[in-house]
Formats: sequence, C-alpha cells, structure tokens
Amino acid sequence: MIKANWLVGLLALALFSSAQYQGWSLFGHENTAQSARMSGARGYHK
Amino acid sequence: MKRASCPSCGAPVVFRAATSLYVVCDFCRSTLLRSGEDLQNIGRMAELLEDSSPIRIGSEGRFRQRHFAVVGRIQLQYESGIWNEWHILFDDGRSAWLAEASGEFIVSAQVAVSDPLPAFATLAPEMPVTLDGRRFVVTDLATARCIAGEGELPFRVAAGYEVNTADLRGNDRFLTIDYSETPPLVFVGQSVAFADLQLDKLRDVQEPPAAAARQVAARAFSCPHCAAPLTLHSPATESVGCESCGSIIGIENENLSLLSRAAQVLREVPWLPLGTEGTLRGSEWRVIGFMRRSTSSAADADYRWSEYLLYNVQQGFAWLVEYQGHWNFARGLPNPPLVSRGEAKFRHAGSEFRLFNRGEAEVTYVVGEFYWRVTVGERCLVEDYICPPLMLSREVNARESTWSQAEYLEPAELCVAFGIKAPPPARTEVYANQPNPLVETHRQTCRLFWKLVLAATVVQLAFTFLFASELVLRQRLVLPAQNDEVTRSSQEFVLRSRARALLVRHQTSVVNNWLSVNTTLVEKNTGEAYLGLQEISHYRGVDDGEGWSEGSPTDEMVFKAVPAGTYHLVIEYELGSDSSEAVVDTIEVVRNPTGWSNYVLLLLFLAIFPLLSRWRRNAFEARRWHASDVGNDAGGDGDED
Repeated sequence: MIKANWLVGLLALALFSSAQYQGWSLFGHENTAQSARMSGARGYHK
Repeated sequence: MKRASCPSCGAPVVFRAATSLYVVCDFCRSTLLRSGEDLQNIGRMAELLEDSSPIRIGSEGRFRQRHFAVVGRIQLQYESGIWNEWHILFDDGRSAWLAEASGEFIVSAQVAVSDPLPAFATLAPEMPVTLDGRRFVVTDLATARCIAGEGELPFRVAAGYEVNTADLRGNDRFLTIDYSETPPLVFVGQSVAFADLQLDKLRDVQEPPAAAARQVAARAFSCPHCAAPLTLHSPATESVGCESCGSIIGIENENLSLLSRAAQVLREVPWLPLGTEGTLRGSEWRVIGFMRRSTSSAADADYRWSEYLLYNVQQGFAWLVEYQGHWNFARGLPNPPLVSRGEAKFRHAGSEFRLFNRGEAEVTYVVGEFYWRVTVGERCLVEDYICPPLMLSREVNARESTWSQAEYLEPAELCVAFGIKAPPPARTEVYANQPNPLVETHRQTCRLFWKLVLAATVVQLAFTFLFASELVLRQRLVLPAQNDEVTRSSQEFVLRSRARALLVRHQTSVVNNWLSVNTTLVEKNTGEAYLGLQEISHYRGVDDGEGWSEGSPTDEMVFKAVPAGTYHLVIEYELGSDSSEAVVDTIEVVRNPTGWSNYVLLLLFLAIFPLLSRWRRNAFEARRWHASDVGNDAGGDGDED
C-alpha cells in the first residue's frame, strides 16, 4: 500500500505542479479560449 | 573464620560467617552450637530431601557486583512443594539469604521495620501493606514445615517446626514476613535471574553449571498406576501428569504419591510433544508439561486454551500459551505492578496496559511435569491486561497472586525454534495482544503524507515567490445607470514574454442587479483577440429580519498561453434593469496568477490515504476488542499521528 501511496502521491504532486504552471484551476473561470483576428486592430466596436 | 572439630565425630567444622551460631556437621549431621570457643552438640539434624538443586554448600556467586559464598541451607516444605533458603556470606562479612523456589531466585536480608506488622491471619492475596513508607501487596501466603538444615546457620533449625510466611512484592522489592518469632522477622530482597547470580562451584565442579544441573535433573521412574515410564527434568518438579493413564503423581523426595488416579478421561495430544527441545529468544527450552485450561468470562463465552511448560536450567520456567492458533511466550513477572483488581488501565515499564478480559480459569487436562501440585479442576481468577505485543496476566487464588508477562509469538518463529514440520493450528480472529500490522502501515502513510505536503508547499511557495505573479493592469470604469449597454476600452498594457495564464478580474459594485460582461483581449499590433463572457449578479436584502445574499459582485476568468505583445481590453457591458444605480467596475489583469485552490485540492486528495489507513487500523482494533468482555472504554484508539 505504501508503494502505491508513493506512486499516486508523486503523480498528484506532478499534476499539481503542472496545473500551477499552466494556471489551471478547477474553480477558476477559464475563458472560451476563442481567438479571432480583429479587423484594423486599432479598435473594437460592437 | 573459625575452625573447630565436631565434638561428636571429630570431623573439622568451619564458621566462616561471624553471624553463624550453629553449624551442622557434614559427616555426622550433629547440630553444633557455638558458645565462645566451645562447640556444643545439641542434637542430630534430620536428613535433607533430595531436590536436585544445582546449588550446594561452597557454591559461589555474585549479587550486585559483590561476591558471596553459600555457607548454609534450610530446606522447607509447603503445600505446593519444597523451597530452599541458602545462607550466603558476602566478602565484607555480611550475610543474606538466597531463596530458591519454583525456579525463581530471590536474594534477601533481614531488616528492622518500625511500622507494626499485620497478623498472618488478617492477610489475603493482593492485600496492600505499607511498611516504612513503601507499598507492597501480598502475593503468597504459606504455612511451611522445616525439613532440615545444613552448614552454617544464624539460628537454630529444628526439623518439623511449622512457620507461617507471607511474601509481598512492591516495585522491584520482594519482602517476606516470617511469623516464626514474635515480633515477626522481616526480610527484604530482590528477585534475580539465575544467570545474573553467576553461580560457580555448583554440584559437579568438573562440569559447567548447566550440564551439571541437567545431569542431576533427569530422573526416571514408573507411573504408580499404569507403570508407564516417566522422566523428571526439573529439580523443582512437584507433580507429573502421566501421558498414558492420565493419573497425576506427586513428587516428594524419592517418593511418589498418586494425587489423582486416572482422573482424566479425555486424552489430548499436545501439538508440541513433551520432551521437544528448541531455542527460543536466545535460550534453550525443553517442553516438560502441557495443560488445557478453560474460562467462562463475563461475556459468557467459553474459552479453551493450551499451555506448555518450558524449562531451562539457567532461566527456570516459561510458558507457551496457544489459543485459536495464536501463540504467546510467557514468563513469571518478578516485579509485578501494584494494581487493584479490575482496574481499567495502568502503566508498567513505560507502557500502558488496558484490561482486556477477566474470568475464572479452570485446569481441564494435565500431562507432564509441573512445579506445583497441579490438579484437574484447579481454579483461579484471571485478568489479562494488554499492550500489544505484550500481555500481563494476573492469576489469583486463595493463597497466592501471581503475574506473568506474555509476548505474542508468530507461529513461524515457533516452528523454527522447535524444528516442528507439522503446520501449527490455524489462526482465527484477532488475538488480545496480537500486534496490529496496520499500525506501522498507518505510521508510514502519515509520514509519507507529511513529506508530500511539504513538497507541495515548496512547489506552491516557489510558484508564489519565484515565478511571481504580476499585476499588469488596474483600472476603474464607471457604468452610468441610464445606459443599459455600454462598451469601454482599457488602457494598454505590455506582456514582455508569453504569459502562461492571464487572469482578468472584475470587481464591481453591482447590487441587486445583474451585469453581463463580454471581455475581449486584443493585441494592438496583430489584432489577435481572445474572447470571454461573464455574468455577474449580486442580490441581497433582509427577509423577516434576516439578511440574505446571492451571487457575487466579483468574477474572474483566465486566458491561457497569451503571446508577448501590447494588449488592451475591450469590454461590453450590459446592465440589468433591476436597479437604477451606477456601477463601478475595477478591472485587474494579473499575469501568471498563482491560485491556492489547487494546493487545497491536492492536500485533500493526499489526506485520503492516511484516513484510509487509519480506518483499516481501527477496524483491526475493533476486531480485537470485539473478543474482549470489558470493551475498549479504557482508552483511545492509539492514535499517534
């Protein structure tokens, strides 16, 4: 059980580090991740 | 040292101890009284009984680093057998007594006691007695008869006189009250292991003590009932159960007495055959006796278990106790705890022992040698206190109270120790003092948990301080109340390098209204845009005197993998019509934010493992205490994390 605990714990730690690096959060509101090329690139109007 | 000649036979006699008033002539057994320079013959001493003790007059040993020599002996007999009181003389001229009974050795000396001594008739086993500020409990009451004496003695010994004695124990002290005189004599001493006495010049000086004792110990005879051959291995043996016919034979000197004729109808075969030899816990043991006992506890369950009596010349006696395939190696406890009967828990030798079972034990079957006059049907009160892997057991009858300490033994260790090929009885259930293997697992799991928590904390702090988050924009926008839709652009901000994450946080003043926020992150030069939609609603009020709140005026979102560049935000607001108040939105843009929610989530996940191992450990303990008739009210669950 201890070995499995070690393995799972290290995996969880790696996942945590990766999530922190990516800025991912389970409770965070991530944008729609859409990107678009804006015309003119000088201003934005509805 | 005074040398003289026996006035009866002329043989040389020696007084080595100044305190010796009497000496028994080795040759004619005349009892000689020292009176100045003269010796007076006051009569012939009776013969000693042959008891095969390895000690003799002239043996030498050490006690507390002090050398002594054995100069005399008194042999006494009581209902459970014979014991010897060896008169020993230290090099500084002081004398003491070395008691040898039931395989136990006690060195004691007479002391003066200022407190009044209790009358013998008022004493009972386990009765507390305080003498000169020290607390003792009565452990043994006996009426002994003097058989004979030999060598130098400090007082006159007459065969046949009876003496009441009370043995008391307290902490590491042993106390004997001898009621043969008025006022009674008090001796205080200490139990000591045979090996620690470093005895020399034992019975056969040509051979090592163990071999000498073994040689004198083995005696063969025939059962007086069925004539089956029987062998005695221990000099302290007082009774033998015949394997062939079940009779119990009393041993006294060279004489045999049939204590119980073929009383045992049912014949039981011990798993460890009598006579089996093995090395256990560093000593060589021989199985010399086997008995079955049973008890009816308060939980009305009927327990039956087996006890094997082991013998070693140096170590004395020990027990192997088997119940449902669980084994214990038990020794008598020379320094028993001072605990009143039925006490829930107590500390002994640094460990806490908890009451597990109590009941009345009865001997149901006997075979082989025993150091007391054992009988089928013999009963005593038993209490077991546990501190796995140890168990302290108290046995009390009308005349004595004894303690033993048992340690749980793995069956595999037993098989190796005695070279037994047959499989041991199958283990069932959890035994009282069986070590909980999940305690160590739980401890390791907790240790691992804290290591992982430490690592996670280091990672979190590294992200917080080393890969620091950076506030790249903070701007306050005001939305007029009369416009339900409005678009605003923020100031520009620069990302000098790629941002892993870019957090946009809206902290609004919206109350009792809703706000739709459509945020677009626009790169100034390339026109690359990132879209995000948020709904912010915040309502609050008071109903029936109680305040309530719903939603939040603050919301945030994250853009991922945003390249370097110059950006600004274009925000479309749509304000609800539930309120006519203007709304202020404070926008914050944070580059590479470090959230704590992942950290908390990780800790919660990691905590699953110690919680699981703790549950498993406690389940094992619950199975253990299920067999107890007193429950586990005495203490906690042994949590150490």
